[in-house]
Amino acid sequence: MSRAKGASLSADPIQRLLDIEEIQQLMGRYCRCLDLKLWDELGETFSEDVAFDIPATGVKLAGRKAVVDLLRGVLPKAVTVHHAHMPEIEVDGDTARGVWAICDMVDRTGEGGSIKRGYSHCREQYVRVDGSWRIKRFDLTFLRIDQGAQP
Amino acid sequence: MSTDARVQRLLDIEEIKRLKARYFRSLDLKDWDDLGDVFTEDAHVDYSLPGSNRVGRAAVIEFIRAKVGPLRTVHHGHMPEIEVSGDTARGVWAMFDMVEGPEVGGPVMRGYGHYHEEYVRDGARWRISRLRLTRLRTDRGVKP
Repeated sequence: MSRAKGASLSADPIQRLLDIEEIQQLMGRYCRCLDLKLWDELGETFSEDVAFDIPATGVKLAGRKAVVDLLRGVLPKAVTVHHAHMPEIEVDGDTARGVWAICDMVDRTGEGGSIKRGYSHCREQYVRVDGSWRIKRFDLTFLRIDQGAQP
Repeated sequence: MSTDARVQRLLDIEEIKRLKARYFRSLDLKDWDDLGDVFTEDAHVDYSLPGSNRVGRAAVIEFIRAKVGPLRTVHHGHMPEIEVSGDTARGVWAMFDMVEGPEVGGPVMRGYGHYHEEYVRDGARWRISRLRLTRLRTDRGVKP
């Protein structure tokens, strides 16, 4: 991840560590709310104007409501597991960027579909709103998608 | 928040992450004494299994030992959400586990879920005072 124009990283190193920790917890909360289908709490992880792209599935959305409505609409019967790993978080004042490695599984066998297991990277941007970090950009690109249950 | 308080919060979060890593490691390596040391004396656990509601370190370890002692297990925790409040803390971890018996052709299980936990500062260190495991999904197969 390239650093934005020799950016002034947070002058206070302790604040920077706290921000990194909070952003990591934000991603944990996103995955937990998604997999436990806590749609209202999931909405709180996004900024009002979030841009949410998953090119492999043709998903390109703008705005918190559009994103939550889509996820609520397409995943209600699917069993999903999302695990995010190895965060690279870079904080610059009230904005931040991050990349996560993601393993996920989406099981639609309950509705006549298949099981897909994916390996991807999620590139995100974050913004601090009223003291809390939120996801402002979400861009998921897959390395690989496997069909079928884990052998 | 003062500088000291902010640093302490970061150290506490790091310490709790290390505590949970130790829980997973001692569980999978069947180091029951080390695993017991992770819990408070009055710990309460609920693994969402029949008979898994246990209170007290000895009862907790007795249950875990009986359940997974003869099995090969792998447990991984991810994406901790840890909130510290003075000498107590709460946390949620995403979980992956794999459990298999010793015999070829025996059952193999892979599971996904969440640990919902509470922690207590005990002197200079943290321990798990409450643990509840919920499962999203369990895949069952046969050991090749």
